[in-house]
Order: sequence, then C-alpha cells, then structure tokens
Amino acid sequence: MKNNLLKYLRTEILPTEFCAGCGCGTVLNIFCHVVDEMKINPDDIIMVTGIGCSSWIPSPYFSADTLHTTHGRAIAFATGVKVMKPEKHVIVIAGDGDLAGIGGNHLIHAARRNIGLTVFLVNNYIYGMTGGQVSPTTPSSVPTSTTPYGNSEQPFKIAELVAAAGASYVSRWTTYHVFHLKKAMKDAIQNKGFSFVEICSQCPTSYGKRVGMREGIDQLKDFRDNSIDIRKAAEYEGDDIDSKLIIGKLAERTRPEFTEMLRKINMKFDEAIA
Amino acid sequence: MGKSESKIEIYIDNELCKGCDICIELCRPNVFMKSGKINSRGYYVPVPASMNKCTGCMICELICPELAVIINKTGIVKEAV
Repeated sequence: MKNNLLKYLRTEILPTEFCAGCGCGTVLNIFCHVVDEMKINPDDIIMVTGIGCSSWIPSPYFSADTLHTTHGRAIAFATGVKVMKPEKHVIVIAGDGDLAGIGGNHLIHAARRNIGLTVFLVNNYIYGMTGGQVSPTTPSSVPTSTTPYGNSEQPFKIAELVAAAGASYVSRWTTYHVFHLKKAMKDAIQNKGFSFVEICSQCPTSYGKRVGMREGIDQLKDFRDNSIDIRKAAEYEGDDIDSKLIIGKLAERTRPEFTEMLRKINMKFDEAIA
Repeated sequence: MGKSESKIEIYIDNELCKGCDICIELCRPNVFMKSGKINSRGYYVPVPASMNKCTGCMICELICPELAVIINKTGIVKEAV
C-alpha cells in the first residue's frame, strides 16, 4: 500500500536526503497533511526557499511551483511573487540561518509591511548543512564548529521579534507537538496577512551530537520535557523560564495587508491621472 | 498486518524507512518493535508487533520524517487532538 500523500511529492527522488531522524522530514510530512486536509490545489501554491537543509523541503521534494533562491533572500523573492500574484498561496519554508541570520532584515520588514506571505521557519539552532557553524539562534555556551569552547552570544528569540515587528499571526511549536503544529500551519495559511510559524526542529547530525543528544528521538524528548505553553508561562519565574522553550500562539491581530493597500494607492493614482 | 477484528491497520513502507526509531520510542502503547529485517539501504525497519494495543492516535504517521508510516482507519475511531 502506497502513502496517499506521495502524490504531493516528487517521488522519483525519494527517500529523502535528510539524515535519519531529522526534523525537516516531519515538517514535510505535516505540511503534506495540511495541504491534503485543506484541499489546496498544489497549482495554487508557490513555494519559495533559500539555502539550507530545511530548504530541501519545498525544493526538490514538494511538487509545486518552486523558487529556490540565493542564501537569505527567500522573503525578498516571495514579496515580489505575492505582489504580482496575490491570489496564490505564497509559502516560504527556510531555516534559521536563512531567515534569521542572513535574511533577517527581509524578515522583519516583511512582518512590518504585513504582506500576505506564509513563513515557516525551521529552527534547528545551527548551520547544519555546512558542518555545524554557530547560527543566530544557537543557545548560549553550546560548542559548535566555529565556537569550539562554547557560544559566547545570546540567541535570537525570532518568533517574539516577528511578533513585535507587526506580523498578524505568529506562533512557535516544535516537531514533537505534531497536532498543534498542524493546526498552526492551517491557521497560518488561512490568515490573510503575514503569518509566521517558528518550528523548533531536531538536527541529530550537526547540533545533537554537540549537546549530547546523538539521535533525533533524544532531542524530541528534550522538546517534550523542556517546553512550556505560553498560557502557563506566567506561573514560572525569572531564571526558570530562561531555560525553557515557550511554545504556543504569540500573536494574532488584524492589520491592513500590504498588497491590498498597494492596489488602493495605485487606484488613487490612476484616478488622479484621469 | 492488522488483526481481523481491529479497525486500524498500520502499513510501513520499508523502502522509505531510515530506521530512526522515532515511531518505536514515541508510541505510548508500544505498538512498534524493531524487526530483524534489513531493507535495501541497510536500515532495520520497525514492525507493528502488537496491533491490538493501537489507539489510532496518528502520532506515528504525523511524526515520521520519511512518510513511511500509514495508518488506515475504517469505522468509528476518532482522531485524538
């Protein structure tokens, strides 16, 4: 018996190139379930991605129109696509190094404009594909290839940053919380403005081995034990909460969407000319 | 694979599986077991050994990074959320 969801994938290159136990495969799996349950035609989806392990989810595996762009510029390309084709679902799946590191400015300005993109940031806490260099989301004092005695920096709280920049839907889940993640992905696709889901994912090969969690399952158990729901975060105090991963819906608000505003302004301009 | 009285059937695509054991470890009722069978890429694939314990919660199907687990539910079983 074949999996019904394989019709959404480019099956000639399966099984995936991901390491055994990698969270990117889980994100691909849940995304296929979401597309199937929402009955979205893959022809109405335009996937945009950058460089990195998680950028393999849309390109080459998910079979829709795909833009595989330069490092960090996924949202810049996606903005152009959305302005020209506002009726399509423009979905960006990329990693933390791509969106938070090199393309960080594109991310916050897309959130500020509230353009109708759906962004799934797969956060594996490291530059996994290139050999485990420190990324802007690597936790403090974790040894990496470029910081062998421990990371001296503080990590980016990227979901909070996007919420503060003005995105209309922001949530953070992990690859352990599969049902919540599925619901969040559905909400993000249905939401009209800029919607952002940070997906904390396991990387057994580059990150896990440096923190003593060599298998994907070890990191999944870590997500299970060390994450707290945002609705219960108030019960914890100061130092306790810094070591925990806060998951849940961080923001949901209604703001004018960028492409609609742009069209209104253009109509005003046309009237003024006439 | 599944018992005849069970309304839930689990299929595992042996050629997609990479033997990461996430389904074995995360299944609460311990349905899966590591088999002695090696697939064509050299991974030990899991088998749904105790099908009668399966509650149809769908965690293994959703969390499998290779889309290798398929749960076929017929009848009244509701999805746990």
